[in-house]
Amino acid sequence: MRSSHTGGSPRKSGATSEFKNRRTFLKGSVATVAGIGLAGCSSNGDGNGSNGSGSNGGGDEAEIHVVTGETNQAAKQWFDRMANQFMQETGIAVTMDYSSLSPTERISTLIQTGNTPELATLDTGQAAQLAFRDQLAGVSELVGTFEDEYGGDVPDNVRLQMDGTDYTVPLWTNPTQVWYWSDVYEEYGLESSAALTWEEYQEIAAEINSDDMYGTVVPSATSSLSSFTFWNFLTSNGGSVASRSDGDVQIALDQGDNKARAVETVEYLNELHEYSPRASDFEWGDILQSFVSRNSAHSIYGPRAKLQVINNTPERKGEVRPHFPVHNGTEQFINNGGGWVLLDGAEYKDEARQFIEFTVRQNRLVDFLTSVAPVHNFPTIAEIAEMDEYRNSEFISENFRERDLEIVQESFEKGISWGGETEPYNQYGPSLFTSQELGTLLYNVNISGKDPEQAVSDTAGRLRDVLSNLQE
Amino acid sequence: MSIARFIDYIPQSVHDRVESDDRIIGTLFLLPVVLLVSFVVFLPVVWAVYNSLFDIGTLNPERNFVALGNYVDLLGADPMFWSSLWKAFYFAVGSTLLQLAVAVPTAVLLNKELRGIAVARAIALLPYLIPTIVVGMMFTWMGHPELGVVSNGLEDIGLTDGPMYFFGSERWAMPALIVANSWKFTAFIVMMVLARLQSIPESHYEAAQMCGASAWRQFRDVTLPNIRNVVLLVLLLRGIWMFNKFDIIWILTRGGPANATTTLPVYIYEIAFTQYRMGTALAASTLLFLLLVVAGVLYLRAFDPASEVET
Amino acid sequence: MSLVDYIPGLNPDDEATKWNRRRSAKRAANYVILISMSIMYFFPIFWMAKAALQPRNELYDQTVYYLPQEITFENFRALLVDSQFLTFYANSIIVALGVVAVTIVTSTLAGYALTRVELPGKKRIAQTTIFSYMYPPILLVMPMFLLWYAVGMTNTYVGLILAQSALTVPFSIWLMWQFFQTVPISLEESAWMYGASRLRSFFGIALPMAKPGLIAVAIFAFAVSWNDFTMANILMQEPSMRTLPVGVLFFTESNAVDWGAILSASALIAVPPLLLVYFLQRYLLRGFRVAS
Repeated sequence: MRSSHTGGSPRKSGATSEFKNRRTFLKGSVATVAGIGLAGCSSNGDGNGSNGSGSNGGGDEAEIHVVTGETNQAAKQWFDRMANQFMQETGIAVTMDYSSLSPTERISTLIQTGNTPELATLDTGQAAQLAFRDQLAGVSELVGTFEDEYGGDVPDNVRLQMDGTDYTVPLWTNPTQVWYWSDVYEEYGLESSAALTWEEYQEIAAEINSDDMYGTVVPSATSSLSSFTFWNFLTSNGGSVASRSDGDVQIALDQGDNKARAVETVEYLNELHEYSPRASDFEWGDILQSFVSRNSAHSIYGPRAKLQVINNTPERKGEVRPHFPVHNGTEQFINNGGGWVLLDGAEYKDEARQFIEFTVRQNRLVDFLTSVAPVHNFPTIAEIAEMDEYRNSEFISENFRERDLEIVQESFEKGISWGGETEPYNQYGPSLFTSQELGTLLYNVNISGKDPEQAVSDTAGRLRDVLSNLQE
Repeated sequence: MSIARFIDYIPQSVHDRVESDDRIIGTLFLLPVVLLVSFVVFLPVVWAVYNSLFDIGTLNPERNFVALGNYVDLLGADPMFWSSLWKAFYFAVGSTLLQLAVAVPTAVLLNKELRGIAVARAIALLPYLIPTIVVGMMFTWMGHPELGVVSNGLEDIGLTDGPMYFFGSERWAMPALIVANSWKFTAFIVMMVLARLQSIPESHYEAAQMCGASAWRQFRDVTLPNIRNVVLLVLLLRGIWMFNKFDIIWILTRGGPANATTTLPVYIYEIAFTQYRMGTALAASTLLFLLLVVAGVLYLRAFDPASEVET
Repeated sequence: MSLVDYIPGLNPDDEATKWNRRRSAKRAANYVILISMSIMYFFPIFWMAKAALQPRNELYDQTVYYLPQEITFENFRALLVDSQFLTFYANSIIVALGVVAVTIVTSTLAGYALTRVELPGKKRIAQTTIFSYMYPPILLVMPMFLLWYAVGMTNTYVGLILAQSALTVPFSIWLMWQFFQTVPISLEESAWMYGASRLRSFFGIALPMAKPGLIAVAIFAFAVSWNDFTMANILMQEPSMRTLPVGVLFFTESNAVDWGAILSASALIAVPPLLLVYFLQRYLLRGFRVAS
């Protein structure tokens, strides 16, 4: 384990001296402008300027600073409970930092100002952004602890592994399914079978599509949802966005066979868009709203669709059912996940490791998975989903059928992550996703009416710009 | 009553006594402001400008000095910088003019003594006090093309046929943003102009009426000169604030669709937090700052809203 | 007898009724404009309040109901009982009051000094304050956090009050400066004649006469503080110190928006502003009458 750290330490000391310089600069200007009134600040700065994370007062008391974007009531209760129990057990304080914006934004502020937090919960995409900038510490042994605790394996498709080292402890995964209104299916005499093909799905969408209800939603916007949708369909068509040649990551979207697959995907989604609202600004919230309001018959996204119905129109929750995502020969879908990351520049890393371990032991994680967006945040270890504590938890047993859970489980097994297209992991994959160029591709074709082939080439060009910026 | 007549006769000693306190009082009165502004505004700006000379990754504490490298990249090799600057200009000018055009007549109307005017005033000022986050949520909710009240309402009264895509159309997103934004900020100008109108003594209008001045002439000769400075100041401020506006755009469109509403502040945010190039983002902010400073200086020179008013 | 009487066809009686008619037509027009304007301004707020009173299944109905079919307080109850909403509310009020106080004190003092006191370069000082609005605030938060953290003012009311006051004070000074200029110096001078000091005449004469400006400044300061997301988000990290605009985002669960909670929270957030503008603008009117 130590070995994975040595790579990081010279960088860290470099960063530290830079940090000192910065603080000196700031101190200078504070002193010039505000005079003696701020002398306290400078002495404080001297007091703990020697380490990267200046905790106020700088005593010996360890304090673990945790940033999370999970801000809903259930998540907060869980994190607060973990912090309290950990404090009681070990005497080490845990400060929770609930970020209502993206947690990476909060983390960047803390890093830039020399207050690097110890821990964060991030999705794999966000974690990769930090990992390939050498900001994360390896946590392979904690993934091992996690696996031992539940007697199972964390599969590769939720891991963030670079050069054989894990950089996240994956606590949850968000696989994709197609959620539909079963009463509508009944009305039209349709049946949900196993994985539908593109063609079958299009027929269903066309049949249901009417003045009252759209057959489906094809998000066609510069948005994460739209990028996700395109990438998902591309994957299920056997295509990929990136590849590796001679070890280097390249954009594969408009290369060889892949181009035909990409164009085919765009054309299919363009046809499907006929049965969709003109979703030119749709984000995650919009597709859910469309589905819950029964403005559309399907939502191609996670179990969140059902959770939203339970929360808002509970009398209808029994009518929300999943099937496997649709495919065109390749049963493979996008799957994002998330979990703990440990920041390399933080001060109390050993204590933070202890805290991660604490949260996964003694079924504490099961509490999280059965209370924070249950099933949407699906367990990353199959054995957890089999546990009685999981299956029989009040919320899950009341709202999800055996079959629902099986489908979610299987779509997870068939998932790949943004970076999982290449071997080894494409660390730029998440950035290619967040650039939202793939969503814009659907906008350009479905809304602006561009030629699919031209649009694919243009998008590939822009993705190359994104990539070359990152590789600099 | 002719207090004015006394002025000439105020003994020098009185002036001397009062003015001897002035230095001290003036300094004491201004000191809190100078301290506050330099601590809260000046220092952070210095930090930001200084750091714009470095290559800084947003998620990375390391930094390399690149002098004006970030600026060269932006000005020379980044077409998005220029197009987003243009969109910021469109947004700022559109918003400011719309707000001004609605606000001045509204304020004049609200200055009248009509029944129920107290309620009308409260209603007109209220939007300004609603947090932008809430305004953004409200307009997202109302502006949903399929389920929102605007789209459905227009259809119900027969003005449109089918859903309206305000925030999801390249053509309409910017105008829709300007309207949503102005719903909130018009009230600011209304409030400032109304407060100024309230302090115009009634006698001025009575004098004008006695000379037989029409309503328009009263407005031109009495109202306008009195609100001139407030309007000019408010115009400058609204322009600056609208140029720097980020929150409501981000909530309503995130710069989309297809970058149609990516104004410079939105683009700066993207550089910083989706491209993770903090140094470049700081440079872009500094350029925006310099631009506003130059425009501000020219504006103050040209219109001089600081000129003393004599009433 | 005026010339008008001799012009044929212009009977003074006719003229009077015409004038009356024109006057009432004008009044009616004023009311029409006033009412349509009020509807335009108020509709979004009505719509939000209406949504907050609707049961969730009506919110998520495809049909748009212009009035609730059924009224429920469930959304409000959930908000007040289950969440930290009240804490956020109290924090917001404390901070807003603090900002209003700081702003009024600093801006009246400085505004008066700029108007009445001969100081070298005073106009430049006033102009420079405006330039403090010109740096895009989205990136200023990093240095601000650094500074606030260094002096231990993160997660404190004072820290946030000072930060938000920096947004309100520059403009408020200008405004007060403008308003003090409208107070005739002769009034103060006559007070000096009776032996009043500069301070006396400031509090006794200049301040009461600049009341409309003072109230505008108070509303402005309250609005800025009540609205502020950026600073509160960066400087108040501790959950129990959060303010409303930041707290309201807690009702969006990662990718999903809880509209029932968001809209009812929004409706409650609008209540203090409504009370404030209603009472302050009445006061504004009265202040004016005294002054004239």
